[in-house]
Amino acid sequence: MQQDNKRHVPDWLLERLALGELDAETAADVRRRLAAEGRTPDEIAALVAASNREILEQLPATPTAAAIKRRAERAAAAARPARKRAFLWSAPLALAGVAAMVLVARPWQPQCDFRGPDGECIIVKGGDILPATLPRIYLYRHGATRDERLRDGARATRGDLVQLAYGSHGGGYGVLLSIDGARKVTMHWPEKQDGDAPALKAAGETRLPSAYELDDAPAFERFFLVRAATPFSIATAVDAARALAAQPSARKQSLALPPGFEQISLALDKTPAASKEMP
Amino acid sequence: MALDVESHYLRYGPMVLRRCRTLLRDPAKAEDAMQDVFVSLIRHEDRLRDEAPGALLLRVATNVCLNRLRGEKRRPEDAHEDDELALRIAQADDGGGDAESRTLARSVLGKLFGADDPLAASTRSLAFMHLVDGMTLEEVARESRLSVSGVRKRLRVLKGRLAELEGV
Repeated sequence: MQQDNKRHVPDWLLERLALGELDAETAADVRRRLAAEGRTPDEIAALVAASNREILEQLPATPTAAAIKRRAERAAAAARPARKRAFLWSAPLALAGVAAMVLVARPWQPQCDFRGPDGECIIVKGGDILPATLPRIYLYRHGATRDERLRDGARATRGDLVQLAYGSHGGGYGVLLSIDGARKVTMHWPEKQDGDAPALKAAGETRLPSAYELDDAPAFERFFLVRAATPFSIATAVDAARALAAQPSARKQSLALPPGFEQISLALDKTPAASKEMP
Repeated sequence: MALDVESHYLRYGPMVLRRCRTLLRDPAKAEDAMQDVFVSLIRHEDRLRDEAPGALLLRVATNVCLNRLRGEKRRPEDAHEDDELALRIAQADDGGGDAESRTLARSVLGKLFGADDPLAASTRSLAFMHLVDGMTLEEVARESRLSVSGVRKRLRVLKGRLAELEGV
């Protein structure tokens, strides 16, 4: 942690200290910096408590919470017609997508959305309709007040901040990595490239601890979740990713993994026509 | 509605309002923005699974308020002030910023990021946290759940914008 006693402790951190939500290391650092300023955590807590009382007297909880709920309901009602239209359009698409799910026995056929442990290829068309029991990969683009979920093929551009998550109801072991149009392999989880793959949380969706900013690599960024039921070497996935990244067909082809592995990918389209130029 | 709005407001509402008052400098606008922050929380309460509400609410409050500031009519600034403002922001970025330079940094941030700027949204709030709140890169990264290198990278782009301003 950067040590800097010359600057006042930011209000942001004081608020979080008063809430008791800072991690132990940061809280200790804030206390040390307060002491250097001749202040104490108790003084800060008293100031915050006094301000809280004053604000809650001006804006009592019950009526304010009721006003917030009314505002939320109005916002939801305003958004409802658009959602309904979206559902009407998406329902037949989803049905068509279910019908289009194809299991192909021959391994390494291109454009699989998911590969099972026997190398079978599952192709899903028409949207996000992978069976819930299969491992999944999720991408969200951070926005000002909300995150936008990105589907396979979504447009993205340099500077986009994306949050990666995975779903693995069956647990197991896995890594998350990506390849890009510059033939580079990036590890997202874990960050190391050696050792064994960590255990996956047996949950519907688990977000990685930090987000990832897309760089200026051209054409695409394709994210993979590589999973197996038993521990495996991270190098197995990394080597397969490096081999694929070097191929002209890297955007579509599957990773060449040994039997026993599952893989699922999600690609972002970074073609120049769709990109907003960063200044 | 699953989220207990009243209990969240009791615990976090005053903090959010203080944040909005600091950014907007207008009690009525701050109160309005504070309600919008909680509306956003209701809509995206799933994010509470992953992190402490305090940091999330402070970030949302920052974004909501910066969006409002952006939407307000901006006063034209004197061209000759740009060099001085850029210099002061650079000083703040080096960690030696005083209250005055942070105030100036705050004014130039509004000028730097327009409504259609691809750097808008999260980068603005990161820049604000670092340049105006005076948080270190490590603190900004931790409170935003980003890597330090990711924050540094985004702020490098901000410096690039400042350099462009100096060239204008």
